[in-house]
Amino acid sequence: MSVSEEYSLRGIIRELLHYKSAVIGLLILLFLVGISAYAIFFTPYSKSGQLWNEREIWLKYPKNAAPEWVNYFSSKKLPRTIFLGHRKEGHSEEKLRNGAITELIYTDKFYFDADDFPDDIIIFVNATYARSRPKMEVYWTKPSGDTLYLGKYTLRNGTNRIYLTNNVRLEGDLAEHVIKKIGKKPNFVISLNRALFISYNGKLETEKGRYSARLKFTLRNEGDKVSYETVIYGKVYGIAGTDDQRRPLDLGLIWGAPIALAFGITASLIISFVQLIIAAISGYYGGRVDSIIQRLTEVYMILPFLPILIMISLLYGMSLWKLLLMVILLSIFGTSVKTYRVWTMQIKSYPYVEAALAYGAGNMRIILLYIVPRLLPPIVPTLVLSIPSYVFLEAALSFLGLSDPNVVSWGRIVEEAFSGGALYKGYYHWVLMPSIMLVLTAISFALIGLALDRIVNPRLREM
Amino acid sequence: MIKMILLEVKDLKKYFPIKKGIFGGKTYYVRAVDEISFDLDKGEAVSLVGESGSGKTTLGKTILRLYRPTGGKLIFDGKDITNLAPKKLKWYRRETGLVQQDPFGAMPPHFTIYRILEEPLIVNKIGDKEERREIVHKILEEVQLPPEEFTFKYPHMLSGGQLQRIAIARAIILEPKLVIADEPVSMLDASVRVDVLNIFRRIQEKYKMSTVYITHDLSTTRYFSEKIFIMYAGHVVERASTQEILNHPSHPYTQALFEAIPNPDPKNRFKLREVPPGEPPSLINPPKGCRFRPRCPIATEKCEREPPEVEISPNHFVKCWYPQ
Repeated sequence: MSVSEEYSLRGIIRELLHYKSAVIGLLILLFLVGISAYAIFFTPYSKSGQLWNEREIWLKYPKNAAPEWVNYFSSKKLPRTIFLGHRKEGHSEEKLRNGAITELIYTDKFYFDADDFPDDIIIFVNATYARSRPKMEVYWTKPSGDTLYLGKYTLRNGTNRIYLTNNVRLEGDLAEHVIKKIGKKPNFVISLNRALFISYNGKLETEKGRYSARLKFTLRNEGDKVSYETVIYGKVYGIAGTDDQRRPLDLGLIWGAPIALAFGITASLIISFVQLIIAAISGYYGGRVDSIIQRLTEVYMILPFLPILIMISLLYGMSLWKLLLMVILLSIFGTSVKTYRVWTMQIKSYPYVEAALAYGAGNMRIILLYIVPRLLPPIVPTLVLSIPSYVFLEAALSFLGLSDPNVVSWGRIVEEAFSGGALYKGYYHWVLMPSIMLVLTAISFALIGLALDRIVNPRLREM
Repeated sequence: MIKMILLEVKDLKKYFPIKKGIFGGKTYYVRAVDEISFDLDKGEAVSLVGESGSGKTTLGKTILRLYRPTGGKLIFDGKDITNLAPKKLKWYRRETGLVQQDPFGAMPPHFTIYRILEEPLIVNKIGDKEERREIVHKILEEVQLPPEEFTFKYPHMLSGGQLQRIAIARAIILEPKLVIADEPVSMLDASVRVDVLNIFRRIQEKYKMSTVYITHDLSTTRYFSEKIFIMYAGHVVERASTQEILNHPSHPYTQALFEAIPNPDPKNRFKLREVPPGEPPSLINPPKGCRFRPRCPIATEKCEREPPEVEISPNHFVKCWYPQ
């Protein structure tokens, strides 16, 4: 690469917009920067990592749900999550008083038309009572009019979680009921969630139509209160689905974006600039300084980068930013130092450097103001192209389990998918979505970088 | 009028080491400048003439202390600068200026003309922003380039002649006492050479700067200088006032140089030009004694000894056993 062509950075950016590929790359980048800004603005990264590790707050999301757009590509429609409760559509209330005993009857009607069965049903009940515990009875009416009794539950003070689908006895009762309705024992297992939604035609199909769920609360004291929410967990959620801890992946991907960009861009920028300055010093001073820097570079070049990083991470359990620092420290004497050194030596021989010496400019001034700015345009494409490699590095380290447990990164999501057996169990979205983000990042910077390369190296244009 | 000596050069030597073999081995030296002595008066313009490889540029750069002399003495304004460390040379940088041969390479391409001219002022901490602006504008007018038109241009937008005028402006912006112009017009179109030289000469006379004009072109020296030094293979072989050298070239080499100048006279059309045979000697292993000896038409055995520098007429020095 020659450094004789002259470019100003502003001119490069103007010319960049003439390349369609670069514009596409810039648009993708804009998108990534947009979601990063969104993520940083709404959840600072220290908080997002904490939230991601919390179990309780994701309880109302479905488990291992596929992205919603899966329904567009499949003839079998997967159910969405349905929320029932106060102030929801189809909700009605009835209150019966009998002395001190109050009976509250809440009926929720909802329309169900998916081809697959929902996963789970949990009723979240908040109860406050004075002396005797309130009771809750659950009735389930199918579109056909068949009403199922789903048991009686005694409530405790505070939040009760009623896992309807975990009730083994109820499951057996309902299975019997379904077999009776069908008339013969079907060749599939009738689990509770299936029993609630199955049509009685003998096939494993859902019954579509208006369902109603009735909760009957019996409160024994004056002033006792209950409120509830029923969650019928679906099998699709959002644009990225959820993982086995019910965490919505779209949030994880958004929270991972600023981390990926920050890590990649910081690493690439700092490493490139430090390498540039080291190389400029090496090439400019020559002699012993040059020899030391070059020998050091050669030693660095044979150091096994990844094993060292793994070793240090295992020993010290590093945070993301310490990891970044390690990556930078292990890269500043990279191969590029040799390339940049040669360019420096070429520029150093220009008469204007000698002229600067003649009017008294100091060595550091010459390096920083006369040589480094001339090296910048040709390294900009390299710099941009190396950003995704550092994003990938972070993902790879996360995948190897060296990630910061307090940070949500794309690599960490892939790692969780891997250890959660996502591919084995068929939760492809779990691996696919973070991978798509990684690939998008790579494509974005690659398109911009290649266009930059063509601008700065015009000889490549026609080839 | 008593002339004041600005620069004294005494037995100046500059050898460049060449290492042979990867395990140290024997080190050879290119003797680019070998025992040169002369004085330069204040305000005096001197031409340094010689062919390629004769060490003129090395001499210039050694005087400017861009190279560290191997031997001898450099005394500037009464101060010995021969072996001063680069950090202690800052004042000397202010007192000297350099105009280079290649105007295109002499400008940092990422700076504007204004910045290029401001740099020497910034580096030497002269004036504040406003004062520096005035100085830059004044100097641009001095080299006949309208400031408002040129300050914001980049070097690649200028022609060679304009760039060389910027280079001259940069060399004199610190108002140095000594300017070394290393073949300032040899890369320019013939049409602008005279302009550039005239501008340089006028400024040199106006500011009374001592000037060393390095060239291989004898024909431009007479416009420019009061004295001519002829260099051959690291030695100054003849030095005298311009008029004296033009009228009485005394060293056989000088005479050969004059022979080589084409003279557009019809009478000369049948004249066969006598050019000394051979090439300038290798400076790694120069011939013993007089370095011109292998090519000299009048050389004898005596020339195998180092020739003395003789003053054949007042202020006319010739380094030869047989000055003509």
